[in-house]
Amino acid sequence: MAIDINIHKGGYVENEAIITDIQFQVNSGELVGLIGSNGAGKSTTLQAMMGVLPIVDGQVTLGNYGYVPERPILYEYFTLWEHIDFYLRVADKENSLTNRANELLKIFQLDHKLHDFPTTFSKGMQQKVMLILAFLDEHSTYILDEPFMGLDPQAMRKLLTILEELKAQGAAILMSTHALDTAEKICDRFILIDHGRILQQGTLASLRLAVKQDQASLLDIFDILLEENHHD
Amino acid sequence: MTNLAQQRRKLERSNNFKLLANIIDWTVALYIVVPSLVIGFFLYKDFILTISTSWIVHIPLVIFIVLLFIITSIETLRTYLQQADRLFLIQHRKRMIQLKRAGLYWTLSKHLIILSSALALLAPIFIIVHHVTILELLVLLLQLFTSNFTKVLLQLKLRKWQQLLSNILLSIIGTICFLYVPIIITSLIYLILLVYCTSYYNRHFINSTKYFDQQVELDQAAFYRWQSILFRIAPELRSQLVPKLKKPRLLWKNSKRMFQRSDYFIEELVCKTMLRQKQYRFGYLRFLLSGIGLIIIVPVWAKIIILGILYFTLRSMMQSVIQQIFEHKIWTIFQVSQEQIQVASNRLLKGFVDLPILCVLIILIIILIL
Repeated sequence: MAIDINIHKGGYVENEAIITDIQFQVNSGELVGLIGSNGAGKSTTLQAMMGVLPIVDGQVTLGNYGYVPERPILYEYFTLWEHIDFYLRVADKENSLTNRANELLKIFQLDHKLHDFPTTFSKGMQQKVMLILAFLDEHSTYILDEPFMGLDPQAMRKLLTILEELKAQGAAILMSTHALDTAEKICDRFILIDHGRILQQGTLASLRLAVKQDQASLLDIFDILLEENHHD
Repeated sequence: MTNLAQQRRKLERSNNFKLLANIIDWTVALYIVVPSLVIGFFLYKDFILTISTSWIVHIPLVIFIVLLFIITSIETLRTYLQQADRLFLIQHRKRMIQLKRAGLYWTLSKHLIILSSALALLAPIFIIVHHVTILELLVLLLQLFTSNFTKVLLQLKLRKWQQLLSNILLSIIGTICFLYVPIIITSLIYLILLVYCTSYYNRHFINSTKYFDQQVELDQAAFYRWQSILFRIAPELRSQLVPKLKKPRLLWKNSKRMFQRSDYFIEELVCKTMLRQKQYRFGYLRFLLSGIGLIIIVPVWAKIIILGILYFTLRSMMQSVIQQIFEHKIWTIFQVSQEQIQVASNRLLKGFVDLPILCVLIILIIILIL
């Protein structure tokens, strides 16, 4: 099991839990969608997994991972190539990963912007930089927080191809997203989250069974579950 | 509306105080400010006692006078106006005039005190070395005060290059009047100019709202003046500014490595940040160079003390810069170990602090031996 999460409580300040009883696993070669409304606790869950949430009570099993943050995180005083070069030097894989870096730069059409500061890029281009850094090295696990945000349709298609390749190579991928149409097509399983708690998790078929609607889309299922949860 | 002016002055003071308290906590006060004051006092005392044999006697009086006219200035004639006054206060003409007038009196009184203090400190040079009388010094005070008032008024009306030209002209005229024109005539000229400037400012800037936006802009800049200065002294207080340039303009602009060694990646990040972040770059250089400058001019006993102070303050400044860099969110993407950070920090402190201080110490020892 590549990812095993069992968080009883987690938050930013003591005694104010943002997430409660978050328990799920992601297996190798599996792409799992973390679905929820704004402020439902998706990003907090991811932060808790990565160990950057101040208060966490629980266990997290996570190997080395590639990470795409919710908003692009870039260093203001590094050019695009300096970001990549730093990454290569930290990983101590300059020789083996330089070709991969050039390949990704070409795929996301950023190879002509190497010596520019990415902080001056458009939102979509900044997101592409994040994807390049996340997919540069081979990881057993990938944590993607809204990876489609700001991407143009071409880049989205390329990202989907990369995700398919990574899955085929045996990577465990946890992806938080609002793009439910896309998630429905590519994810193997879903974790639906609301108010910091898991509403339901499983494959699309099992979720349909749970809401007793065999033709329901992921959006429909999510709506129904939210509605039920709010009535409760 | 003196109360309003007082309220706004109080707000400004409290803002500046809060900001200052961030930098000068009691430890800084204890280790830097208090020793600096004590050392400064003894240095000044030493200077006065040995003034007739010091290097300063070789500098002609004219240089001091020209420099005083050039260096001294009034930053802004305060009005304490705010953008929101366009909505409310502007409709109450009398109260607005009172507010602006209170600002003018405050600015001029403050400037007069500062000028008097500066001249009092320099008085031994004028009186002992150049035999200037107290009356002449008072006339110089009047000249500088009026000249600076005129300069700041001209700033409101003229373009940049015209301001520069007028400043040079005022400095030359002031120097000529002080050195070659009889005291009574100089005093009369400057008194008339002072009265004219006051009535001009009253007519065009206090009684009129024609320059409201310009006055607000200038006053806001003055309001944040100390904050800007404090940020320059302690750039780590300011959140990191994003460079406006699309790509680096100077040095290592094609993403070339500073250090060829692969394991020097953190050092490279910090060095490039120091190079590309204006506040860090100038903050560090200003600190180091002003320390070295001070070491050059003070007596031997003070050189050693200042070198010691420079070492510790430069070190804490660099430590806080490095700390701020490591607080950046990018470290969630660049996953480095605590050990790597520690090793890099030590190397950086050696390069940015130990090495330059050691060089200064060696040069100092060589000079003292020779």
